[in-house]
Amino acid sequence: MNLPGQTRERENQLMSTLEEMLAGRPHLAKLTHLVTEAWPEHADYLEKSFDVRTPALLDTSDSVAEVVLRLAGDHAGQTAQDYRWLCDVIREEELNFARTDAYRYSTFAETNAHVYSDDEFMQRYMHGLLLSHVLWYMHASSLHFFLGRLAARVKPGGKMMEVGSGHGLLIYLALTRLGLEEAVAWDISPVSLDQTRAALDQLGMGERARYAIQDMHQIEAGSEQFDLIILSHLLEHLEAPVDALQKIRHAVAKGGYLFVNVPLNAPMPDHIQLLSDPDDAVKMLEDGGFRVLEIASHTTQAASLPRALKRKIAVTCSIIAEPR
Amino acid sequence: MTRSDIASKVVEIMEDVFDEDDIAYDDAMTAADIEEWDSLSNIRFVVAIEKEFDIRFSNSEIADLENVGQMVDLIASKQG
Repeated sequence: MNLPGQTRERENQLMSTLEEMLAGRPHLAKLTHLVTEAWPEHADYLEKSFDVRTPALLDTSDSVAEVVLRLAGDHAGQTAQDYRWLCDVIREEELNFARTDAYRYSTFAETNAHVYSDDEFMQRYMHGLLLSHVLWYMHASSLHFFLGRLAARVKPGGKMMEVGSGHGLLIYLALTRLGLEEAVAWDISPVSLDQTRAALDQLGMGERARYAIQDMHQIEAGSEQFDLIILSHLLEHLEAPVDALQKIRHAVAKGGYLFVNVPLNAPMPDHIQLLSDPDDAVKMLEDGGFRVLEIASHTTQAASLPRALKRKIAVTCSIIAEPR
Repeated sequence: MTRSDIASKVVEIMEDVFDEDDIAYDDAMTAADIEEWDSLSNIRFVVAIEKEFDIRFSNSEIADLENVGQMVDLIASKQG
């Protein structure tokens, strides 16, 4: 069934609620304004998404919104449109998932043919996802965990590496907020790596980052090691995530950590590994040769975890691990 | 199946999907009347109905529905 459109009165009411809610958080307010201009009917979702956040999480969201707005730059309006388009894409995937209990594709050949090789699709997809880090409770909460929990563990001055860095947001946050000194970005796609480079240059971090075309399945013994390795929203795209983890464990320096974000029940056109319980994520890490030190489950719109699992509502699991 | 049988089944599904007890059926009921009825639970509602009645909706059929009464009529028409 279609959801009833908002009346003008309801829209005005939601806008003033959002304004009050986001007072003193100018970047979050600006991003929200941009998105509701492009998509007024989304105000209801955003009001719920912000209403369930603690003041500390709203502060994190505001600081991430500042970075996201800088990255979106002159294309902020188009980025908001792309976010709306992304949500439409996901709704289609959610419908397919509810009907079949499976993700649409299961091999890299399929996602490569239908998603990765489509440049226009990928560009809009990446833009949309950039905003999701602020606008979706699940993603904002996982970033809050990333900043809060890793700050307590990571030694300042170290070196990090992220595989599949995309828009470079986590690298930027690790360099500026976790006290890490140097970052390396790995990707198998030169186009994606160029995007990360452009993003980090734009954010003024270019001199502290290096870039390499590197397949994580092909790491050789004795290769460079890192104090922190990030695999954020990566494992669900791989055909053999356990094999990849077994390889990458050798690149974690002594006393270093692996940080993983991996979703449960999150149908997206390029997800091929369906996990449906946090235990599945823990098992994947353990089979890959890691010991899980901390795990947090961030549910869609802060639904209770049992309800989210029962209803197959998307959850992001954030995990801090070390090699066994 | 009579229209009121279909409506009763739809109410059972709504109570389950939207975690609400004792929903009083009304043809004019919409998402605005139920707290848990959002874009995501709407998808689960539609698919739960498809599974219960062994039917399939097209995207445009889903998009055109304005209230629960129209959903019940659509189910009845698909059941022939």
